[in-house]
Amino acid sequence: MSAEQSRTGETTEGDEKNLVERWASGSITDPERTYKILFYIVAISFLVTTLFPFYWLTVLALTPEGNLTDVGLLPNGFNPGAFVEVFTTVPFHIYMLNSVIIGLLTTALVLLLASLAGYAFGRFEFPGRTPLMLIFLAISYFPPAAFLLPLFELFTANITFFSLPGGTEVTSPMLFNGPGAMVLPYSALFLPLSIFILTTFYSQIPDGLEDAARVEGNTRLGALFKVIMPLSAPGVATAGVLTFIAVYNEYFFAFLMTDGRVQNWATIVWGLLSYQGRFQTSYNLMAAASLLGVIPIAILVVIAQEKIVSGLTAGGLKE
Amino acid sequence: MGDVTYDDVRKEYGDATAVEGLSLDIEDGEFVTLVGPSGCGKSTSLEMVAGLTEPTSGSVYIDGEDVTGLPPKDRDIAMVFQNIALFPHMDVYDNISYGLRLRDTDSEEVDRRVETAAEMVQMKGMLDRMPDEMSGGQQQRVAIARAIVREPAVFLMDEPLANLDAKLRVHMRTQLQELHRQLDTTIIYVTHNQEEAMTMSSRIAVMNEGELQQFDEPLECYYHPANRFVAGFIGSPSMNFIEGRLTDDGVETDHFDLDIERSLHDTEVGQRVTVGVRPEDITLAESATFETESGPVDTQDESELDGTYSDPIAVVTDVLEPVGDDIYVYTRFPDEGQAGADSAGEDRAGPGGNEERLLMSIPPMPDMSTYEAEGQRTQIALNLDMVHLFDGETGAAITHGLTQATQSDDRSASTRAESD
Repeated sequence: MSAEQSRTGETTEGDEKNLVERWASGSITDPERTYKILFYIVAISFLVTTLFPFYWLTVLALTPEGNLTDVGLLPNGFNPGAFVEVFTTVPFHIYMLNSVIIGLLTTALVLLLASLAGYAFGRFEFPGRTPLMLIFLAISYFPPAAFLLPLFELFTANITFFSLPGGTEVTSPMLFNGPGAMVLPYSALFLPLSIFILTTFYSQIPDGLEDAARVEGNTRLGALFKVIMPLSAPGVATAGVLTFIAVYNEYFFAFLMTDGRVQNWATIVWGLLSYQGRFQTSYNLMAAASLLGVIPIAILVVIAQEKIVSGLTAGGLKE
Repeated sequence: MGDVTYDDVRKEYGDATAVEGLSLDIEDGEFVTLVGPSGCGKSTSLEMVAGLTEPTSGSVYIDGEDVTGLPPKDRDIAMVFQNIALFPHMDVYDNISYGLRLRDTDSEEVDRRVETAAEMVQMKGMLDRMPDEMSGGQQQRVAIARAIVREPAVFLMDEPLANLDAKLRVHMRTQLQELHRQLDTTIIYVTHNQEEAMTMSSRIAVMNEGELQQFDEPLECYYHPANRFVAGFIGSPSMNFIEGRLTDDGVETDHFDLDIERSLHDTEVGQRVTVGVRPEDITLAESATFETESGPVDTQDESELDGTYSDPIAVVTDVLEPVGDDIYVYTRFPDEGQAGADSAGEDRAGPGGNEERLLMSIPPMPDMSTYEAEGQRTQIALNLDMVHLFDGETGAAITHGLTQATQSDDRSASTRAESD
């Protein structure tokens, strides 16, 4: 069918062709239109699937506690007080603070260690470099549950390393109910990803710059932290943000490594669960708290997104 | 004080030897150039002074102190890199003052010294620029300022001009020499460009395949090269080499014979030698011309020849390259059997024609068409004062000049004897 005919077919009412036929011929002559429609379909379904949970949480949070049965697409009432009540029923802000602190501690530790490892992997040739990298990568795919029992024993001071002659026993430290019990396993689990990202970035910094820094008076470590790291800022930001988000979202160790009391470094997970009483669960408060809990990550992503995007694409292109 | 000594320094990378038994004494205030082709170990040698590379064996001394195991920061050196290596995240002021700030110099002192250094490289008004806002030449000047601001005992320069365009390179060359005069500090300079080495240095260390070939003043390397490699590497266009044999009273090659009027040590008749002669030491023989269709374009007068010249050698011109103040004439020898002035035949070098060619450089002839002068027969003569002989096996120099020995020849002969 020629383009001319189809165009007349589109414009003339009363043409014999039905709607589908007209649309098909139209898209053959103008494929851009089809692509555009497909783009909107994909984009809208993506937005719906990601944003609907947030909308649903908002609906729940705004619904007064008594009206929680039969919630439709619109809240049964309007109760913005839930967002304040969240903090009065439970010290949710402290739970959030715990999460943020543990996230920051882990991120700092991971960035420090991954920088050192990335420097070695990225800038030195040594025997066994690739196998070692692969082992690190393999570790990141281990199920955390596999570590749980031994780590729990270790962190609750149940493991005796050795006995001193006087009869005193040297046991593992008591980290349970403290930040260490979460920061250490998180760091181990999230290190490989950061090592990979930073290795890629550090290996791209020209040798001359490091040499220049060393000649100017830096040690190797000084050159790493004063020249190589600042120049790899997108990579460091990416690794840091990904680690922070992963820790902030973590459920497993966060749930099992404390007893859930807020003074014992319980995180948001415990904060949300504490709205669940013995006889009744305040779903509206839980929803409100969940929304509030997203805020730190949302802020972080907004601030760092530019660096993350450039970091991810730069890393990807150079592979 | 910045004297630098290499003591039998050796560097291996796996199986490959980058630097082999390097021993050098560089005096305070000297401008020494390490020069050689790519992969000759010159940059490695420099990095061993900088402390960026550890020698496999041997020691490096700066100012009499053994610095072999010291990190770069403890060596009192500064370096300018080929890729410039300014810190891209710092402005000019921060780049220049980086080393001073690391050493906790107080800020007034930093300001004062940065200003002096910036003034020296004419970058004074640009202290708040970022490196990517500047041209290559400006960046390299900042890199030099960063090196001089710390007033180190030794400057190390690793091909600092290699990334600049030709005009800027010549300009920066002069600037560096001026800087050296002002600072009077030892500079060790690495380049693969023999012209840079010749023009800038007080002494040149010519290296090849990890080994030091000759360490001498530029003109000494030029006129009295220690071996065939140095002879071929120093000087542009490079020296012509023709294989030959020693005879009773001279040297013979496939194409010409030369008389030797001096006694040569440690040689025997029949020994294989290489005759080396620079393009500018070849000239048109007495009354030889280029014949073109428009007639002869040049005649060589006897009066223009000074020095002792060889008998005329018949050649055929191949390609002429006018470069302005000179014309480079590529010539080949006529085919075997046709050699000699009388032989007829204008045919070009046929298949199996010999590969040996001579490049000569003659003064320009304004009314000559270089195109017409190609493929012409002519005769040339070699300046016997300037003909070098090298051992056919080892490449070591046997003599520089075939005429009666002069004092300078004796001197070089004796220094060579000492070094052996």
